[in-house]
Formats: sequence, structure tokens, C-alpha cells
Amino acid sequence: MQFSRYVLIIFALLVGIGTIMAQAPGAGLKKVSNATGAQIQALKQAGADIIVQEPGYIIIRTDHVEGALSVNLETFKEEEMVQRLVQIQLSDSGDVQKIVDTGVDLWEVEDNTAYAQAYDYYIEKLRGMGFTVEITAQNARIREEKK
Amino acid sequence: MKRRQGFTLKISALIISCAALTFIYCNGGGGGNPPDLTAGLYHTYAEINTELHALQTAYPQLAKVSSIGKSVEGRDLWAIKISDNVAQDEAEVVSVLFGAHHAREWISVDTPFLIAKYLLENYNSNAQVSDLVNNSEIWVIPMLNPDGHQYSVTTNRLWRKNRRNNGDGTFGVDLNRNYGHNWGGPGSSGDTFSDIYRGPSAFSEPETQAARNFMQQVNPSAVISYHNFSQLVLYPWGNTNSPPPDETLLNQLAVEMANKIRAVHGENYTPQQASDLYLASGDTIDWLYAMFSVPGFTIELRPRSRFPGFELPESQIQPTFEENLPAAIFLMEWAVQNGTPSS
Repeated sequence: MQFSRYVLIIFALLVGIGTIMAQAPGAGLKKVSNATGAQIQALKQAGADIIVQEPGYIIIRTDHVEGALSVNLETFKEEEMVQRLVQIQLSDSGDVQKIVDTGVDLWEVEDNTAYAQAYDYYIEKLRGMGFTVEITAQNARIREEKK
Repeated sequence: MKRRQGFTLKISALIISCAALTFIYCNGGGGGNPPDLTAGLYHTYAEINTELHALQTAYPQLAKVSSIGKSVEGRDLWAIKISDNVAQDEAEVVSVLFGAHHAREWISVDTPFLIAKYLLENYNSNAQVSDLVNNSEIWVIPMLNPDGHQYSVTTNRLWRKNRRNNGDGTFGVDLNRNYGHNWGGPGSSGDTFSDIYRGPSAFSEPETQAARNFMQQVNPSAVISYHNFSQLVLYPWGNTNSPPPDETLLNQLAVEMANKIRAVHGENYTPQQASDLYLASGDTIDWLYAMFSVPGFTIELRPRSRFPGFELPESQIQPTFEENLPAAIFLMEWAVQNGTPSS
């Protein structure tokens, strides 16, 4: 009986240490499940970049976070790094370079529209720069873009 | 005591089971269907390996297969050298054709591969081909990014980068932003998750290191790096809008290649300086031109637009090869006339 009690105590300690470590982020990308709007806002204020925002989870970059976060940080699967297919309206000849320099995966420029694959982080960044960005497919890998 | 032993045994069994499951999962056997390792008429890494060695077997005097290095996951980066007296290093000019810096651009594998195959199969019957092969050394490296290509075949068709584990949950470096000329400049990203992630330093990747070392060894006189899509013939510079010192020559060669491409099936490939699209830094042809001052071109193959984009139908493999063959031969013949023999 006593032995199993020790095992349980050690297990509990490991879980506790694990939780503490998960809340103190190292550099890199982490998943947060079921984050509320308020939590997302708090994460942004703490310096986290929201790279992907999907129903049920977000993936954040914690490189610039100082201190602990009040959410559980998880590892993520590669396929959870979802990109959107987007159309970006261009208004002058320098716009294409601005778009590429964000880190977006530009596929094509036709007339006054750029077509790209982009993470939510880049979409928000582009919108913040004043671009009109329309999402044409929620998951580029599934590709249901309107033709 | 018995109970304790039983408990210990159960814990041990649990640990062993977890370890076994982790091993199976990490080795890709975690259930589901086995990955489809074929790509139809497009060549996978295994198929290109087999085909290149079959060409060597069929044409031992003309073809020699070797590895120029290893990918980040340890795959050989296969090259086929085509020349008369292929076993010897003769003082002849060298032309190089690269494919698949970018994983999802499958047609960029098959086009240079089919050019290599054509040269070997027509050596004895076509005087133009035999003259070219007799007077130069032609190296074809059809798949510089085999790890990414394989991932594109099995897991994510739109994968672009190599398969470097960036250590932060993301994978991949864009090999065509990882070369050493003006590395880190515009048109590349420091975000590890970006599809145009340039890597932590110039030539950080084994694939670009292998390409660099190989080119320094063979001292090429002309290079084509195949990509898709957009139908373009691009020449340096890509990292600046300034014209290259040999702008007139590079433009003439690009225009002539585009003309030769159009003459076959009527497809228009636009010749232009790479930076006319947008600035991009750390790419193959900028480094090549900066290093060797020789003509290098990025040819963006079919299709012209995003429909079908990277997923070019298999029915277009053959016509894409057919229209690009005379352009490649033209450039390689130009190299024979104007290049510097490799010592």
C-alpha cells in the first residue's frame, strides 16, 4: 500500500512540474486548446503572436513572451498548422513586394489581385497594413477555392 | 509482497507499452493506411533513383550516376553526368540542370530528367545531340529536395520547403532562399513557419551546401534551375532591381529560349529579370551569377496560372518536356561555344 502511495505522490509531482513547465513558455510555437476570446486577448497582450486560429485551438508563437501564461501550452501536430487561400487587392506596384516581405507564400498576381497561401498571423498583419484580404478557402490543403 | 510485485509488473508493462506505441507512432506505423508512395506518371524519389541507375546501366559509356550529397533526412542527392567518355573528367564545358528545389513542383523533376533521358536515347541517331554530348559535360540533378518532395507525395501536396526540424514545432527551410548571395535580404522570411523561411544562416541546409560544393567543383558555364508555375524565363538579379552586368546577353539568351519554347506547342514563357516579379534573396541563380558570372536561369514551367497551379495534370508532363528540350539544348550549345572548359 505504502509503495503505491509513493508512486502516486511521484506521479502527482511529475504532473505538477509538467503543468508549471507548460505554462512557462520557451521559444517556439505552442498549441492552446479551447482558448476564450479573453484568453486570446491576454495572450496577445503578453506578447504572443497568434499564428493559427482554428475552431477548438490556436497556435501561438511564444518567442516574445515574458513570464508565465495562464493557459496550458501543448505541442501540436503539423497538420494543425492550417493555412488559408487568400486574395489580396493591390493598389500600387509596390504592394506585391510588401506582401512577399511579410512571409506570405505568394502564388500568382493577376490584374490587381495577388493570390497566396497564408497563416492567420500574416492575414492579420496584411489587414493591419491596410490591405483588403479575402479568404477563399479555409484550409489550403483541402482547396475549395472559388474558381 | 505478491501484490507489490504485480503492481510493479503492471507499471513496467505500461511503460513498455507506452515506449512501444511511441516507437510505432514515431516510425509512421501509427495506424491508418500506408502512405501511397507513387505519384502516377510523375517520378517519386525512389522512382527517379531507379530510372537514373537504369540509364547508367543502359548507356555506361555516356551516363554516370553519383550522389552530390545527402539531404537533411539522409537521402542521396542523385546526379547524372552525361558525356562521351563519361568516366573521365575531360576539359569540357559544364552545363547543369537542377530540379525540385521546391517540393510541390513535381514537373520540375520530370522535365530535366526527361531531357537527360532524351540526350542518351538520341545520342546515336541525332547529330546535334551527339555533338553536344561529345563536346560538353552535362549534369542533371533532378531532385535537390527529396525529403520535401516525398512529404509532398505522402502527406501535404503543397509542401514547398525541405524537411529540416526547426526545433520549435515547425519544419522546413526554403532552399531557394538559403543560398549565400545577399542571404537574408528582401523576399525571404525569418519566421520558421513561413514557406519562404530562409534558414538560420546562408547555406545552413545540406541540400544547398551540396549544390554549392558541386558547382564549385564542376565550374559550370550555364545553369537552368527548373520550377513551376507561371511560364517564365528568369535571369539575375532577383535580389535587386539593378540590372546585371551582362544584362544584354542574359536577356538575349532568355528571349531566345522563350522563342524556342513557344515554337514547339505555342506556349508563351515570359523572359524577364527575376526581380521584375518581386525582390527575392538567397536564390540559386543569384548566387551562381555572383560566384561564376555565367548565365543562369530559373525557368518557371507550366501552367501559367494557379488553376491547376502546382498540380499540373500528368498529361502535360510530355508537352512541357518537349517544349523545354530545345531551349535547354540551345543554352547548352551556347555554353559549348562560349563557356570555359572545366579543368
